[in-house]
Amino acid sequence: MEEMPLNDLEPKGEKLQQLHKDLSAATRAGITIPQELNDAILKRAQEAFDPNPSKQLRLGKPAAWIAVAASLTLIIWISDVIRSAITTSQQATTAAIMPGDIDRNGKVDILDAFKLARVLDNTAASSPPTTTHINDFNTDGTVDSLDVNAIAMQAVALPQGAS
Amino acid sequence: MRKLSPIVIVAALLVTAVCAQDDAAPTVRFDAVDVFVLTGDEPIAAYQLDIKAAKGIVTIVGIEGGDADVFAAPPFYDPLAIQNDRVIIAYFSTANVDALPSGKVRIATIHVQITGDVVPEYDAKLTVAATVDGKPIDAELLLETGTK
Repeated sequence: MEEMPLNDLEPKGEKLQQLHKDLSAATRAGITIPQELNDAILKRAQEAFDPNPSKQLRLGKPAAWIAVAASLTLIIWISDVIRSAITTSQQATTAAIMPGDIDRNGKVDILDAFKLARVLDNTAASSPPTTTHINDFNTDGTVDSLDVNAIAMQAVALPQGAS
Repeated sequence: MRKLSPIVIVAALLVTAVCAQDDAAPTVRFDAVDVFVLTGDEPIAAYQLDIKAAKGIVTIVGIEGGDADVFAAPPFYDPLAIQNDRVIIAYFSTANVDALPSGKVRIATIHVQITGDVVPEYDAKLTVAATVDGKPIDAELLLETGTK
């Protein structure tokens, strides 16, 4: 058999020329694969890559919606728990502040009375400050100048036993 | 002479008793302690201070306000301080900054009764000095006695 040079692209010999013609005719006509053959190939491929197809979890549309709803419910519940925890913490912090400690610095002095007085001066009579255990020092249900005076008296109170 | 002897003896006894009583009674006097706050250029709107007698027998008998209009009223103090030797006084004003005093400001006067001859001394601490918005200011305390 005659060896073909590597750089020579032109077929040489009758058989090679015939092969070239036959391949060219097949390419021009297009290659078609029968459907049965295609299905068989795919089936063999699936078996090769996933030998246990029955164990696959396949979710239908209803199951997917249920999963989404469950996720949303869980997110809302967690958010509510976090919000409740924050609120409880804030309430605990507020409750820890002693009555009269308007500026929340841990002690009651004349600055607390001063601050409350300024708040009352800048607040309309129709919308008084919200009553809390901190500013309603005399616990009469309203925040007014009586609370200011009471806080000031607390600020100057001598310690018990002082001399 | 015999009638005069009892009279003389009784008189002598009375004089002796009176002299002895004068020697035992301590001296009592009154004084006024003027309280000043030195604020520099900063207007003062609120103050709180603690004064206690550190030396001598001192009894607080009265407290009055200061010179500035905003501090003319008597400050807040514990009624238990009267007849005591320690008092915490405080006051504030929500007046406009233009009406607030600065510099050497007499904020109050404390009237005291001094028993004995010891010249009293006081420990005083300015715990609060603030300006119009409640911000602390750098101020000093000054006590002056014997002015009234």
